[in-house]
Amino acid sequence: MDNHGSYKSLINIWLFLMFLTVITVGAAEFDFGFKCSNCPLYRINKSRSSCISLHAFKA
Amino acid sequence: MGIFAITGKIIKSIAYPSEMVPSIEEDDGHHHFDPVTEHESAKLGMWLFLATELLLFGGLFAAYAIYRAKYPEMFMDGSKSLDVVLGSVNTVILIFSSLTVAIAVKAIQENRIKLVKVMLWVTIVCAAIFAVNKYFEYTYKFSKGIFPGTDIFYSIYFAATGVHMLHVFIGMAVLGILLRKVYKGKYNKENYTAIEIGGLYWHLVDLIWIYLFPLLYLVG
Repeated sequence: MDNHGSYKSLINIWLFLMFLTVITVGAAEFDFGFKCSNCPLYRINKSRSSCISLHAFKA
Repeated sequence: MGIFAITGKIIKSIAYPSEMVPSIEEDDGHHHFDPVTEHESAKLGMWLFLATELLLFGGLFAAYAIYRAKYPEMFMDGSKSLDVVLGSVNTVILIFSSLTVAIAVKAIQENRIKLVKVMLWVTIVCAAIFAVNKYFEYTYKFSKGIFPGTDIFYSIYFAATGVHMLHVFIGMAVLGILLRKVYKGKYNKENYTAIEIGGLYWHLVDLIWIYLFPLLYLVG
């Protein structure tokens, strides 16, 4: 039957997932200074909904 | 057949896989009863079930993608109203509970029954903490007059997290039944299929949340 690796490897995988979680939440919450006024799509259409990027709108 | 009857059958098939097939005395010669084949068959069945679960949530993710593309501002505003700290805490709790259930599977393979009991208990407690956090999140939204019908974002938010919450409750029931059977001495290093496929189910619950959390809380 299957072997699920060592306890140490399980904990290492968990630590790696924790690291990814912290990095992801940190990157999502950090203000990189993106603004709609800098977005070429916004400048062309003057419409926030025309923006296709995933960053928060800070027009 | 009602939803509760179906849910009951799913829980029973996970917790008591050997009872879902005829006993050896009733065997008509078309079933495999050597332990390795039964173990592999049960796991294959669980993976097929997990595939159907992915289809279920895939529909919700598709709805999210379509309506987000159609109403981006509504999703931006909706996402900002969600509590990122509470969502992050729940993410950490669920990932930790996946570790504990994986340790439980590893421990039963080594016949470390006491460790299995501790890890299953910790997993169930983590699931309960997740549910309590979700309860506070929902009641806060309701107190602010936000309900599933408020707008499309909240419809998808409540539908996706609600269906996920249902899976958390089913997972708690499955792990509870497994824990009870561990206390009764039903499992050992030769017979741990139920714990392994119960663990697989719990990993799915964790995995779904790993997608729900960034899509609903972080992509603002």
